[in-house]
Amino acid sequence: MIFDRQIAFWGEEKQALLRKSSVFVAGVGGLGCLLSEILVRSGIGRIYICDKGIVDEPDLNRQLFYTQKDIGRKKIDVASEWLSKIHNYSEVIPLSIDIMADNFSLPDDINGVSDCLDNFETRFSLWATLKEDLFYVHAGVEEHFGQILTIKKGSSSELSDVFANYDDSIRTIPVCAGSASVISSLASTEVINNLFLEPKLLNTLLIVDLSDFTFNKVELSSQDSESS
Amino acid sequence: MATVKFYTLLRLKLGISEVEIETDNISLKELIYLTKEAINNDLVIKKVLDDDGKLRRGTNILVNGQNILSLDSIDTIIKKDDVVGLFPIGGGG
Repeated sequence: MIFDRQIAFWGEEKQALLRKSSVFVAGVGGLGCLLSEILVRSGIGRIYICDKGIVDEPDLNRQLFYTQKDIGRKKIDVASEWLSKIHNYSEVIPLSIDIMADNFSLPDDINGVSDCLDNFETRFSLWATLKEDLFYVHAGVEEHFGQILTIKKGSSSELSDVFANYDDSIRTIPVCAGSASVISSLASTEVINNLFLEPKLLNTLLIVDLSDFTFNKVELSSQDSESS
Repeated sequence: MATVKFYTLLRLKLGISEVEIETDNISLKELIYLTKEAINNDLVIKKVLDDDGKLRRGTNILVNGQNILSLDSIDTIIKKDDVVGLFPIGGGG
């Protein structure tokens, strides 16, 4: 059975929970490729993958689904082809839509969102569409460092507050396969933690620095939480 | 004492992960200048403040886990025992 090794790890009950779960993965680039593959291999029942991008040559150093022959194809087409080959326990739904569009809305059946996007303007738009109590696992990577965080609307910090001093002006963000893969693996673990209703990074920023393998956790607070 | 913590690129470039500053009831901007004196490295100022002394984009600053832009930005009052965290934001995906 495909999931024997992980059922031996976390048990039948949690595996059944994953089978009933639905996750929206925003972005299938350096973070979203490996993350969505891990979610499929873990047996998540339904995975939406959303990206409006086209495979480009500079993607190939770290975006694990894509090869030279895919250049010019829609990322979600290549990604869904690959993910659908792994097994048929997960339904993969590709969405080639613009998260920034006025009429964008998240699917009704999701348990939460995995943010694998590459800019904060789009992240803030996505966060704005999230309904209360759904989890939002943020991940971001640059050079050899990155950060991961779980937040929920109404009960934690706001994404736009946590990263208020972002700078999206650097259009070519330096990143490599190693750091993107580590950050996406960690984020996938936190997505699964959330599906088990056991988030470990709720309102806690995990800052990862692979230059010397340093991990730090920073607990967040907000004006709301301090005044309540 | 207030504690100033540096993460990722800032920690690497400064060669230090945190510094304690003997102070109470000063602005964050003043704390940054004291930090520069304490560690003898003006990179901390360059990363936080622009040439006009205003907050520079790109480095996130948390005071006790709260972003300074939800407080009074670089005029946020820092008290003894406050923890100030400075980290570049990984924006890519």
